[in-house]
Amino acid sequence: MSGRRDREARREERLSEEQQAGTAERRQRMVKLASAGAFLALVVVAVLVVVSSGGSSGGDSGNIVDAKAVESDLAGIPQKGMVLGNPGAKVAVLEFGDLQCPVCKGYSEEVLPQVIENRVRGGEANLDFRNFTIIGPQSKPAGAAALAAGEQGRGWNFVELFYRNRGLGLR
Amino acid sequence: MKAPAEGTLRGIGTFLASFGIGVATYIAIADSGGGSPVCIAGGHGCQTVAESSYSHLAGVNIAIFGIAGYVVLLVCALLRGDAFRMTAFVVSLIGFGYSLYLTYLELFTIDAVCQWCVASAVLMTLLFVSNAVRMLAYVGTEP
Repeated sequence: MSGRRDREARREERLSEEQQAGTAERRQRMVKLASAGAFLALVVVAVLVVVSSGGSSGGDSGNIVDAKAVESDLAGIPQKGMVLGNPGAKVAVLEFGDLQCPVCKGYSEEVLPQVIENRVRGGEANLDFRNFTIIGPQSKPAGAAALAAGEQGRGWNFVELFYRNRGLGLR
Repeated sequence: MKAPAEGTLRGIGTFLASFGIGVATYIAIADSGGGSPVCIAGGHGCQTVAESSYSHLAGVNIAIFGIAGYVVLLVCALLRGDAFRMTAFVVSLIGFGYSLYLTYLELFTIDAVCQWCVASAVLMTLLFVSNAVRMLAYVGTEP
């Protein structure tokens, strides 16, 4: 009787050991698989980073929108430096703007067209753009380019076109 | 240190992924309407980030990828088994890695912080931690 019990106990012990060994082996295999998955995940992240940063390498001038509209809005209005309109006008409107600023873009698109048409075109007021670069490092080269365009009598064309295309060209 | 019960980790995963779906869906809806998410704390950080070129990947708003990721994580949290433990770990690692990159961009390239993006990054970090613990503690423990 006792011998039989001993045999059963040994059998159960052996089965338990085999089961534990099987579980450990399976677990080891799965952890290896997870390591491969982690590597794959890091590769995917690297690809996403490359694709994402590749898209910001610069705009395509072919994608510029509203060029004709800006040209038409400003046609026939004198420009000197960053001043649009009659330099001797009674009213001078100074804009301190950042070309990357979304609120400035809204002002440029929603408020300025009427001001230009109703007050600047007739010589009653002029507009003077001043760089106030606060948004980020890209604001400075953008502002410098506006000043350079101003030297060529196209400062306001640059500013208005830049605002109209802000956030669009690189997408 | 003993890992929490798998049921607890799955519950945490379910809660976080559901919350993440809400955040990413809000960002995606705000973008699809031609606008941007509204920063509850004020400021223009959300608008600046949403209008930056980094908010889209191959022309698709990254919030859409976020929704897809959170949905996969939610399904993995609701189901048992090694396949779901592994998938949750890999997907949350991708989400965590990309969130780190996006947070870096916000701080050092775009120079604007969007609280919705930060919320998503925090959720993804917590999901990665809970799924890593789930995977390490319970993978291969059941036939």
